[in-house]
Amino acid sequence: MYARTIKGRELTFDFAEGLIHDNLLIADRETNSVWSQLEGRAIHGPMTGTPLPVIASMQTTWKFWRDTHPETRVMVVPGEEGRPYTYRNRRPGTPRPKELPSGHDTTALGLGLTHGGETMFFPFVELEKIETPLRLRMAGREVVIHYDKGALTAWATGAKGELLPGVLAYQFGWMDFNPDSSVYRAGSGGN
Amino acid sequence: MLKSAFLAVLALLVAVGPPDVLAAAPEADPPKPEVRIIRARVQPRPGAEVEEVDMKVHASPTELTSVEAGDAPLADEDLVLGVIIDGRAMAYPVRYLAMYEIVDDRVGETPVAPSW
Repeated sequence: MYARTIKGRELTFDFAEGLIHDNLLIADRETNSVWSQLEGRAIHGPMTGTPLPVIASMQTTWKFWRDTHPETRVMVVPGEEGRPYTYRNRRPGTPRPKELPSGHDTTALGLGLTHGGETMFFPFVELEKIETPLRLRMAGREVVIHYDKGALTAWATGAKGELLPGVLAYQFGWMDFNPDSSVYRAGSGGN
Repeated sequence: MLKSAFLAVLALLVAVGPPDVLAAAPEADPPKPEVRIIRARVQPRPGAEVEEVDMKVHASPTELTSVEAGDAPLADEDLVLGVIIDGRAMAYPVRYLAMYEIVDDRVGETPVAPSW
């Protein structure tokens, strides 16, 4: 999730029908610059190169969020059912399977994290093999990785327990944008 | 023969109009979302090479509705994007974000752009 105040100016973002690295593009109304959603940076127009300020958020199941934050408010679109979404692990551009599987398939999913200039990806399949929370250091700073299989989520906190900006992504998508990212393997350090 | 058949079809069209046009024009037509074009070097579709295209940009909603947790029409396993800003918790269901890809909201005083 991004903040909309950039260089002191409030921007309004719209959905653009193009892609970069098979990932969504957005465009702001005020300058018509085009931004990469996953990279969080303008790739076209007057704001080119400008990073989008990240707001730490968490992607999880409604049950987990409601149970941990019962006072939460929820965005709704009255009269609309929306588009029910399940994790499917299908690489963009590959043919759509004839029958979409029901339920979530999280085998390619993980937590991508950039912290202090260091970039790491934590695959769910690896986090499943260990006891979490996992304590480790990235760029010399303490990072704690949390994983909740039932809540379909992983998240990272810092030394003071604050939520760090991370992103749940398919490993192939994360590596397309962060080819130098290291990938966590169970038993390779931490704790 | 051909001419009379043509006239018959023409008369039918005049009488009832082409069926698709009638079906697509209800009396209270909702306003279409605003679309603009930006020319940029991007992939026109997944897996495609980057090329210069006239890219359609769809205006995202800026006036959102929110409800309390108990009134949310969601299933336990629905995915949400949750955020806490200045002590306020807000959940953006992926099923709604997927309709627009990105929306423009404000949590307290902070302008935010949750996207999917």
